Amino acid sequence: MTQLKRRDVLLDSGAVSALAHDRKLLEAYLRLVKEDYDGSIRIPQPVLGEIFTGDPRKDVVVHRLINELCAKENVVDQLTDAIAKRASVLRHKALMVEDDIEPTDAFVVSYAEERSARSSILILTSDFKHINTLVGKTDCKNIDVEVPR
Amino acid sequence: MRSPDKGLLGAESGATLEGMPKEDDINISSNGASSNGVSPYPPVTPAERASLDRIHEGYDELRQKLKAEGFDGTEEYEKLRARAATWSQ
Repeated sequence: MTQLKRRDVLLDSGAVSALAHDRKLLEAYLRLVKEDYDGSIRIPQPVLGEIFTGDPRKDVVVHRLINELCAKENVVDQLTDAIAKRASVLRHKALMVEDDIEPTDAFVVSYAEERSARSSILILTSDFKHINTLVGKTDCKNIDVEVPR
Repeated sequence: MRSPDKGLLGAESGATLEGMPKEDDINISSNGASSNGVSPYPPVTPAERASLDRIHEGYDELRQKLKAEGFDGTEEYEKLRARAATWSQ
């Protein structure tokens, strides 16, 4: 059996929302991650801090997606001191070339960087520009960035 | 309000304070994709394998549910695979 190339997919808040609303795209990513990459779809914990609105009518689909992804195993990756500190450094570097880099974006890239020691990474994001700038501040060549489509 | 160009104590960009970690101390990793086709990654541990298997079991069940509801992402999957060829290897 050919060993699959390992790749995990990290979601930012825009990606969580996109997959929560586009069930065909969700089905496609589930298949890709398992069959092509032997990987998993992860949600960095800080992302939870910006995806809920407090309006149950809007939040219900996000709750549903998170519950579905965590049905058998928790895929919300916990924040550590190391990831938080590294996020701070990456954001500081990125702010030298671009305004409005949100802390949550830096957390996502810091998670990606930490996880990239074990597998290639795809960051799915609705904020390609800022995430890509942050990834450029890492030395990693195995982190790709895409908008959900 | 603190300027984003300044550190926690208002230090100018790039300045370091005695006792504070230098940037190299908080570099988590500097990984690169393999250039020779050999996986640069450590083997999956038994605990990781068990976790992945549980996750994949959940994916199988969710995909069955989605398809039963009429959400078949075959077309989207083929587009994803085509784009995946351009991702880092």
